[in-house]
Amino acid sequence: MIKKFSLFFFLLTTYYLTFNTSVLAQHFSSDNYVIDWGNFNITSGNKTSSNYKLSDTVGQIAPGTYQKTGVLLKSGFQYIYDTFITFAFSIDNLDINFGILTPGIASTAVNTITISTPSGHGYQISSQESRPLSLETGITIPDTVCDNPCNESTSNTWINSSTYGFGFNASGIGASSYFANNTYFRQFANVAASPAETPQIFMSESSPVENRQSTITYKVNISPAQSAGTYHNYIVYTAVPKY
Amino acid sequence: MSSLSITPATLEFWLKPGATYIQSYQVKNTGQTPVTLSTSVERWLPQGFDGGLSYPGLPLDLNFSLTNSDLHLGSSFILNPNQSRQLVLKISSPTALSPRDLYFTFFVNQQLTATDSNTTNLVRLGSHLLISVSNSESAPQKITISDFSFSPFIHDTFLGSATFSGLIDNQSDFFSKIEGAITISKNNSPLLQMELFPHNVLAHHQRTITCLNDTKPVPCRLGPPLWPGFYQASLSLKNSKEVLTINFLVLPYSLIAFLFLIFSFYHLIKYIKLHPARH
Repeated sequence: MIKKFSLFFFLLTTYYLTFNTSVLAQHFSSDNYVIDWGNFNITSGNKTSSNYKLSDTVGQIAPGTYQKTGVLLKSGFQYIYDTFITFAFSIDNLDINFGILTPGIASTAVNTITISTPSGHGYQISSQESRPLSLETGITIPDTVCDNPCNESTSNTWINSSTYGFGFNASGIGASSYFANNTYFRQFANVAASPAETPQIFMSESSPVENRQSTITYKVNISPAQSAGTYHNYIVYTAVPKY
Repeated sequence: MSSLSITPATLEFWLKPGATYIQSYQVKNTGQTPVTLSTSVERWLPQGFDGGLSYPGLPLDLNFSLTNSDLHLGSSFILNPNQSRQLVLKISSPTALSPRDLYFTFFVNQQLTATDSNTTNLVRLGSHLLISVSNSESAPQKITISDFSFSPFIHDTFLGSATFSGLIDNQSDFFSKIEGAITISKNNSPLLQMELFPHNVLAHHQRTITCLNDTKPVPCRLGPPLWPGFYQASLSLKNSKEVLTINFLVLPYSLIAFLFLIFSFYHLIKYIKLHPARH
């Protein structure tokens, strides 16, 4: 019996050593690089059907979330999709033109901003102006102080036709805590002032959003004493996620 | 129209003094006109307790550069409609830098060109870098609960919802994530648990709590119905094993108010019938 078992074992060993070759499942090499991969993925990627979406990685070693005090580890290729999350911002109209202004009659113009943020992060949008609306000679249309005092960080009502200046209003969910309604306006932070005014947040949320829109209404009202000419400045909108 | 996107939106990592980290960004012009962009890095500090920030003009303290062969920080490049560009940012830490947290934003900035004479609006889009400079990745944590409250104290059994508010304090030199939960109990029996959203609480700063709902942060709200009685709510942190418990009361006061109104109305009608007006 022992002899038969020994012979069987000898033949089995000989067979494996003679007829089997080693398999290098995940070994890549070039003239400059050698990559040895620890596991063999059977399938992976994003799949869709009419009713379902599926993202998978099959064959992944030790996937999952692991945590110990102070350390959170997301192991596995599925977590790489977190790094693909996009932050996006757009403005629909880059050329705001009030046309010919009539003293004492306010003119307005609008554009729409749209923002999308990654999962788990809110956003904040701040604004600043390069300078007050100005002629090339330096004559300006001053920033509005509204009917009751407003500045670059605080909005207030602006309805009175004898209140002159340039300002803006923002409407939408993210702007509601900065502008009570569409009669509230404030100045843009003037970075050309001395000292330069700090860009001010006018729209923000603490939750992630997708295609959140806000309408920006620019308003200008000039006095009869305002010099004639083409006044110009530009507005910079800065969008960042919350941390 | 100007429309831009950047990926990733936020990065968090440890960096040893004297080490270098390289990160690639994908910037895309999703608009319909070509746009001229440049890049810059600014350092920020937290502002408020809900994830807001400000740029006070601080020195960077780390070295930033682009490794793209045709670009450096501050130089311009054009993106045509629907075109993407990979930007590779290199971050180097001076060897002598003391261990601490530093927070930055990598900006892509729309630039005016000679053909943009009518342009009045420009866009800046930013992606954050939360960097902990340290020789060790396991720095001691000092996370505590500085405030935990429930409003209103008396919650109605049937109507309305009440909200838990809390403030988490980080007294260490490095940012941490909030890990914990709010557990609602009655007579020492747990009834409900709400997991906290893993917000970042930055070094020597505080952060308000929100709850986790399907990967999104939501207010920690307790809705009806609930049996009348005294309840306990415990806010517990896994990082520090700290637990803070508050009590609140649930009463059916909307039902009581409704019954009181019916009762009063009934007696008012009865009184009017018994004492008709005299002419």
